[in-house]
Amino acid sequence: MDNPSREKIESVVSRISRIPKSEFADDVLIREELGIDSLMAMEIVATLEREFSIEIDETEMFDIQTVGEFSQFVEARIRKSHG
Amino acid sequence: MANLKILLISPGGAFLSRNDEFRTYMEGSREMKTILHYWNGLGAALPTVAGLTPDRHIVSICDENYETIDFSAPVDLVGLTGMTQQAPRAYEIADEFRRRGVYVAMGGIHATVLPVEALEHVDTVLTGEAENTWPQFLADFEGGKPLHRYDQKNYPDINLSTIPLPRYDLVAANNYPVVWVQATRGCPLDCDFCAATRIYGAAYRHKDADQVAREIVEVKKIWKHAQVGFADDNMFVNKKWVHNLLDQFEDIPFTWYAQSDISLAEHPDLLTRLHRNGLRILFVGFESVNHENLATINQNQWKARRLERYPESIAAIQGAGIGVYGSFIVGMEEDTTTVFDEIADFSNANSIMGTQVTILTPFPGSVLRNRLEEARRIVSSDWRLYTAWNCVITHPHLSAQEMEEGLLRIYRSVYSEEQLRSRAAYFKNAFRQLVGG
Repeated sequence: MDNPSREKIESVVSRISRIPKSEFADDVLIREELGIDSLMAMEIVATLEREFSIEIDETEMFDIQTVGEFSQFVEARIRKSHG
Repeated sequence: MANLKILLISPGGAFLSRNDEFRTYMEGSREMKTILHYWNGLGAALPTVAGLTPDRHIVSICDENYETIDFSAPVDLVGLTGMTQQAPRAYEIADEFRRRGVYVAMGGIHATVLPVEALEHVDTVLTGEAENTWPQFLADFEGGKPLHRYDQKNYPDINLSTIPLPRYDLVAANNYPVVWVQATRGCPLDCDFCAATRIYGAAYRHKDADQVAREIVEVKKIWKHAQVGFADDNMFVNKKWVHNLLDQFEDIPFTWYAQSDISLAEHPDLLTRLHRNGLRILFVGFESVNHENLATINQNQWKARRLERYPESIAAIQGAGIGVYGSFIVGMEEDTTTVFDEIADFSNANSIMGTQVTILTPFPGSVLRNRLEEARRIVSSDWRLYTAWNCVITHPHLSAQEMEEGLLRIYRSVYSEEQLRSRAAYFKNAFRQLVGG
């Protein structure tokens, strides 16, 4: 993987959900297919905020469906925060 | 007779309220679908019974919530299980198979507490735990002389560490979101509304830690992304065993749910370890926020004595990164029309991750049922209504309509957009503290 942010995001998600990174294809559904519920999502958000020194509005997570959408969402926050 | 063809069936169950407004709300609410998601998983009973079946027989499992029953299947024996709300459907299934000449046996909680009723529809009833009775019944059936009743009370106590691996492979085709695994049996609290002690007794027993770990590995091999829920009524009674279990869980990458009483909050180091080893949601039976109500549940007032500490206990568990899924009951003796707001306010004020509220239901086999029967307060024994979402009793202060509508009011409050946002912020904050942010 040549995207260091993406790799770090996936590492955090993998550590909290205890799901191997190899399962994180872009079109995989976070809740239905990976079983990541709203509680785990908040733990992931709080950890990513710390890892990347960013601020994420937790309610924006409500509408995110897939791994790809989530990664893009966090990457956009990182770009916005760090220019 | 050798190589029996045995079909084990879990009858389809209703999990909805008869109240039309409630049904409409449930069908349209993501959070209510989550409740169904938790409770519609695979139960531990039939895979366990299949595991107890000698290898020479051909056994299959049909979970009617996921599959259609093939009544024309060439089977020698049908085995049914079921909770009370499933009993009417179980009896329909039994009647149909018997009409076709198939022998039918039934176990499970409902047949255990009402064996005479079950025997009106099935050939044999097995009451209590199945580890002794099922193999004995099969041997007698093969010998052509099955009895009508097999009762665990007539057999030696069961050592959980000798139970074979449940046959999860037999239901591998069903896409379960949650698979319920059993690690312990028995609960020392013996609440008066609960009939579980009639099947398992009050004595708390557990499987060996490595035995549970093997089951988890098997479950995760079959359902990679299903959540594992422990079906045990009160999983963490024996703390030494729990630590042994967590040693086993260190190397198994999975997240899980469990049920416990609130005293787990008094063990902060254990909470930290539980979270680190995958526990994400803890179901806790609060039952009521009224002291007088709680005082009637346990003879030793176990829950009543902890009411004052409920908020700090919830904060301790959730602060460790484990979401509390609180269970409450409306229709208890001291409840009045204020109970609905009291429960909603309590849940919202404490940012409880999930809230399940049901109506006091006099399940057969419970102490509560005897008490309400004596008082002539049971208005229906139509088991299809015994989902705990319908009112089947009379109450000194509340009508059935008030209870069913009040239940909906609580759900609308705790799962309102405002509360969902508030809880999301609460948990993000809690996790920030945990990760040191």
